[in-house]
Amino acid sequence: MNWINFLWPMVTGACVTLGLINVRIGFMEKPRAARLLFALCAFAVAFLSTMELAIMLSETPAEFLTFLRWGDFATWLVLGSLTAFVWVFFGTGRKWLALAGPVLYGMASLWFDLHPNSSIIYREITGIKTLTSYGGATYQVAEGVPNPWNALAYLGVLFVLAFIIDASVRLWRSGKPRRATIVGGSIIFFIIGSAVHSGLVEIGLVHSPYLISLFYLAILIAMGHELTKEVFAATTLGRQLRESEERMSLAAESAHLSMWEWDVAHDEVWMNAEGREMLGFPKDERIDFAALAERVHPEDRSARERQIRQALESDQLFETEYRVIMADGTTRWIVARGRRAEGGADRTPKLLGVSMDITAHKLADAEAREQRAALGHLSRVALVGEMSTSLAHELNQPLTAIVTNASAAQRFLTHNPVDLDEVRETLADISEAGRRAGDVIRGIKGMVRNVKGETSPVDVNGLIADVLRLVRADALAHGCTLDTELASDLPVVIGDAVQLQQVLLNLIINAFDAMQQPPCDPCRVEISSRMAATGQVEMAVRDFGPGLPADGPLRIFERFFSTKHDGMGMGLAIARSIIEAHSGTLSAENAPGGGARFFIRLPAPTTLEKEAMP
Amino acid sequence: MSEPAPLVCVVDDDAMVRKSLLRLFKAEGLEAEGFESAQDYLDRALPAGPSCLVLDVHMPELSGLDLQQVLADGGRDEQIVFITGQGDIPMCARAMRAGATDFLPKPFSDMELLTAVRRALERSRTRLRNHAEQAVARARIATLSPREHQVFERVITGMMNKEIAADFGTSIKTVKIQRAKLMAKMGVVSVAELVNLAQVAQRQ
Repeated sequence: MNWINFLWPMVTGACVTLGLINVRIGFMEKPRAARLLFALCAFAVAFLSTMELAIMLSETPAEFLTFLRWGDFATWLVLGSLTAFVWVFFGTGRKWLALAGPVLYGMASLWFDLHPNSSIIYREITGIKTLTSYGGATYQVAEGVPNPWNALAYLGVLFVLAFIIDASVRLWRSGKPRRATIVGGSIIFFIIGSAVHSGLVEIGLVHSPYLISLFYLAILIAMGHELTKEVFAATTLGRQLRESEERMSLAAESAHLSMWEWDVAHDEVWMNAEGREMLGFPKDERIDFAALAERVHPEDRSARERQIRQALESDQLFETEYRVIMADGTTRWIVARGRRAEGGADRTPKLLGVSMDITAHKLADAEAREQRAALGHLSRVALVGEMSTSLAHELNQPLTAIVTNASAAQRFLTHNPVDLDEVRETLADISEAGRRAGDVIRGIKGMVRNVKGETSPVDVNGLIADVLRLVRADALAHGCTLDTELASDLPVVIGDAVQLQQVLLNLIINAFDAMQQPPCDPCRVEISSRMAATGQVEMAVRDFGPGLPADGPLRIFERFFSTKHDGMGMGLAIARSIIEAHSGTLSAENAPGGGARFFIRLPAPTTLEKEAMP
Repeated sequence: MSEPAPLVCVVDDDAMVRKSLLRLFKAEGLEAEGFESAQDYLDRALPAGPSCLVLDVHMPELSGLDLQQVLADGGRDEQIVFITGQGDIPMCARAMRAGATDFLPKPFSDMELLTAVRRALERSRTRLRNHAEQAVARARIATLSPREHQVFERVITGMMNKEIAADFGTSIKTVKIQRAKLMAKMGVVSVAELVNLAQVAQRQ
């Protein structure tokens, strides 16, 4: 049996297969140029092995010569594409060395192959003869005059070898020893092997046909191994991705999480089934930005769009809450979180994110807020009741001034002549006193008004001034002085002014009470405002009483805990819940030098909130 | 002798109230002076003529009731009209027990205040007059010789001349001479006048 007849076609087939696989992958996956060059090299080896088989099976010297010449051309193609592949795949090496080998080999073989009756290997082929190799396989070899210029072709191969050695060493040094060893090493090894074998065949020491294409197949397999490793990795990755996606969608489904992706350039929104269901989009309907925006409550549209625009301009995670109006007219609350991503092959910007229906949460929130407001209202009414005598005093002062001034004015009018300036001044004082009484009444009304958590920008120092007006008389009744130390240039905070007033009022009244038993010295309450180091706006109330209870200073914030004999123990608990609802903190400490100090810290508004302020 | 004009002193820490009170007194033709705190009033010299204090109860540091106490401790007897924005009965009782003329809850009518102030000024005037009479009586008693003083003390208790003489172991005639002398020094002609003068001198 002639093994030559099936070994060479097998090599051809293997090479073509390898080539085709890499052409296919090369059009989709990186490194694209390396894959295509590899494919070219594989096709060249396939061509070479075909020519080798043709040479061995040729029947006339002329046929032999023709196939030999095409074989030369194929070898040149192999060397060229191999060099180019190494150049691209290694990304290193000397350029002149890379060019030298293929150019030298190509010019030498071209020159002689275009001469009549000659090739780079044989100057002249005089005849062919049949040889028998191992296992009784027969093949044709040429008889003729060897071409001394063949040394040039060998030199070309040497250059290629030198380039690859050089490039492999450089690659090794640059930190990729694996690729340098497997690809560089195998190429070097098999080129040397094939050259040595060819030399041995030519000087007649070994009786076998040229095995160049076999050696190159080995090279191809080594190279291909390295290249396909990435394909394997990609396949594994793909499988993991699929599993991960399955897990994600399971999680999304069970958490009722809507996942979406907005392709900005094509204005197309992909959304999972949960998302479509959440927003009421049919399964196959195309969704674009406008279609989404249409579902959003008109009042929330501009804020949502501003957030999305900002997210597209930055890499920041964005979060936005908005209402959507469903087809049946009901309103649902949605929270969406997302981030910009450079997606896909064309690198167009995309917005990726998840959304959640938080309607139930919002409703519970609103209910809690209402309860808090009701509780707050009750405790405010109680506070006002507690202060009623002080408030009466606060009202009686301006009323006294009004009555007395009016009596004085009546008397001035009976004088002769009437001192009109005096009367005018008296009347001005009467209206001033009336205004003051009005302020007090407004203050009380504000406190007992049942408001449901209306937030607005609140000036902290103004708030303190309002509360001080309410407690001034109470301070006198308790024999306390009030000192203030207010920082100027404080930012406004966002909050419910009435509730914040209540907390401050509560703290100040507590301070008065704290200084009654035992009698204090000094009898002073200090109220201050400043910008805390934490970036929050801080209000502090400090007394000179006995300080926080020694057995658990933080118990004061617990419900039903009171140090007053007639206390309910609700004041500070409610105060804390109010401040926490404002995303702030209410804390207490024993002040150095005696007494307790309470801190209300509220977040300063973000730039976004400032922009949104009227 | 012309009496110095009566003076109303207003002590209230609330400028608005203080100003209106001063204005009312001015319109009424009364001289008045305002003080922002109890201490400011204490820093002022005691008015020479009849005076009264219109005093707010609730003030920082020294309250109106505190001031009343301080004045009493210092042996001063200013007539005080208390005014208060949040008075209760115990507070009122305490003030009145300590000798206040009046206790007016704010807001009060002009007539209430003026009546109270007039009553206070009248009491002040009476008190001043009594002080003056007492001073005269005491000065006259001081001119008596020791023996005349002994006779004086016995006469006003209603002893007869012979009883006094027996007491001293002297003659009735001697007692008669001494008695005539002391009656002359005291500027009285009857025993009834002498007794009255003694009472004025002894009045607290």
